[in-house]
Amino acid sequence: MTRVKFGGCAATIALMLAAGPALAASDVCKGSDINILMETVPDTEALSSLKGEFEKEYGAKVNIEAVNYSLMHEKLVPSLTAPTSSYDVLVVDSYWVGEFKTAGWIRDLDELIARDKIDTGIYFPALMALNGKVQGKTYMLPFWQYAMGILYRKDIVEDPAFQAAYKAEFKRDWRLPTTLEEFSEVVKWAGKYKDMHGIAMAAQRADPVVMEATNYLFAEGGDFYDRTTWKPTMDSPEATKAVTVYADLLKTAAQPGALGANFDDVANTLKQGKAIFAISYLFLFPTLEDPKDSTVVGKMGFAPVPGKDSFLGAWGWAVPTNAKNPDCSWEFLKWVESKDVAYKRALAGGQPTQMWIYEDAEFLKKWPAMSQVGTALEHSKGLPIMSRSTQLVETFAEVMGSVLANGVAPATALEESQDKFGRLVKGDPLLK
Amino acid sequence: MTLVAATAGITPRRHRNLAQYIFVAPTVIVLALVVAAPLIYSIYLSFQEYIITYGMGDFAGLGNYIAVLSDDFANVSWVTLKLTALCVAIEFIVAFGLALLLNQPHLPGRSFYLLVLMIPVLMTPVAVALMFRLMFNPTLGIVNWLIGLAGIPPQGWFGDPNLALGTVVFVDVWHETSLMLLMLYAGLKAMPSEPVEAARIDGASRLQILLYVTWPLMKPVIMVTLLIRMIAALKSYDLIYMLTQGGPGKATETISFYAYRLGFRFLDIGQAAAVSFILLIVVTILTLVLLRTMREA
Repeated sequence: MTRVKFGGCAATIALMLAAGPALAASDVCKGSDINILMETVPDTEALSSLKGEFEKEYGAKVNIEAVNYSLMHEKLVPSLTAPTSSYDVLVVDSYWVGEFKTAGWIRDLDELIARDKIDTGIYFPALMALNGKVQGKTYMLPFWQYAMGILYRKDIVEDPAFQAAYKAEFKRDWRLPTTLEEFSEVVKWAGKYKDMHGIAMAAQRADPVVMEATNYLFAEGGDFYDRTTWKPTMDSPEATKAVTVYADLLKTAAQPGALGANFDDVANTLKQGKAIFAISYLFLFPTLEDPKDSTVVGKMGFAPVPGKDSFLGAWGWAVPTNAKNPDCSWEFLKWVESKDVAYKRALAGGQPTQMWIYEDAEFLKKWPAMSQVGTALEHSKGLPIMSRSTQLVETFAEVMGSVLANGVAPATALEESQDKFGRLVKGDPLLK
Repeated sequence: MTLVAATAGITPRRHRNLAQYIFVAPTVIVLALVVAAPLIYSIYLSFQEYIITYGMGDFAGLGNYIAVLSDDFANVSWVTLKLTALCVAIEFIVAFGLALLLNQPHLPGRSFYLLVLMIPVLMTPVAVALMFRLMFNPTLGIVNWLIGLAGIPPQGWFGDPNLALGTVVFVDVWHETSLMLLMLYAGLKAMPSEPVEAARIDGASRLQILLYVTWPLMKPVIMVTLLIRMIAALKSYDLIYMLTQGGPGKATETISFYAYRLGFRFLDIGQAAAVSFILLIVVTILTLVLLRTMREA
């Protein structure tokens, strides 16, 4: 009896000692509120369903404010310029990184990473470069990636009748397009052949059109700047061709109203079975595969964007410099990016950033299209990390608007924009 | 004792004046803090180079004003002008017509009609915009389905540069006509009935009564209503933000949305303040006209 009691006590003490640092860490959050502003995407839903675990373990309350993407930046900026942030943990879009770093709104995490022995080697290097490190210092842990590629109707393109008609038209066996030009031809032909919209597009100002058209730009080998001299390169023939192809597809093969559409509209058009192709986000798959409101369950495929590169976007977790309780914010980051939680988020439809998840059989069985992510990331790049990349998006949106809505010739619009792009990098401390 | 000593030697009239200042002071102080101080600060900002990412820069002189006036200002002013003119004109015609109908003597169910017609103005612009975004959705919306029944192909209501502004005007008319209706109906109700009755006895037709009796009597109310609505329309932002984000291209970008874009997207507070200040000048001039009209009325 005594031995049992002693054994029990010893086990309890051992457990307490073992759990000592964890208890101390969890104490920093007791009674705290963790407010996070997030986008209304599947990963947010996945996290919402798991936040109870953190609350139970750490005694903190997690409040997730899920809003449309277009509202996020304007809600964050006033909070970050205030003496104390309303948000305790930030999710930072890849093209806000430079701005947030230059303005001094996010904490350098290197010391905490070293102290708590966090392995950042588990993330895709491309994502760590995009949404982790700036000028050699770690400011974020990659949260989710939004790799883009061709979303297409597998059932249609794999139909023998379609493939025979394709062969008759193009004098070759069916293949997924390998260049942007070929993609454009196939989209236009397929739309006519099936009497559907060849492509679902999102040309709404500003982020939707920029995210989509940047794929065309990168696919052609164009870019906004020469990334060594930071001279604007939007007057290049590649940029002109990319914008010309985009404008042509929008005019001839897209769903009506594509000029005012965003990625939700693309998803809805695909879900209704009204379009064959889209160059859009892989993260749309959970909603496309949802039998409750999709007519294309099991019919969609994903392939990398044809051509040289595609656009890569991602989000990263960060701690604001004006956080109320930065220790608790860091504890949340560690918890949310722990392997267990990251895996649960991935299974629930998230877009993991940790490489090992993409080798997991159960994950790939549930989301087979994810097997393409590695390939997509190898041939993708993000917007340049510069202090005014948010304004880069607005400027490119203006160019696209003048071409798509006002009918200005792509070469003219791009030539005229060179000066504006040049002004954005002037005096940028990140580009020195 | 102190008060007595302090006020000793002050005449009753001066005492009364002092009391007036003391009573008014709290209001003046609060107004100075919440209205004048931010206004003065924003005027100061409009002369500064201030991009949030880089922090406060040097004195810019008229640089911000020159930059915004030479960039998109002509386009956004033209859009704002078209939007204001169309919204105010259509809303006035619809609202005045409805107000005249509601003012008919012995109209059964008047309160019910009035209640139903007031519903749009009770809704927030965000809710209205979301509702119409769904209705005008090119692939899923009921509007394209309805016109499809008549054999008309689906339209991109907010995505077509030729249709977007008209569609925004339609939504604004649906939302804002109620307010005009309320003001005009109140004006009709307050109008003396004798001149109308006298004209009717004299054998005037309905049109003649409207043109020669009702209209002149209602003119001050109409002027005030139009000016109030015009000032609000010039500042249009919320519906634009929710429906089109100023697009496609810049087809629906108003001055207020332009200021928002410079401030919150370009984070250029100096230029955003300059645009806001220009808009403030225009609205102030219109407000002075409004006050003068009200005084004359």
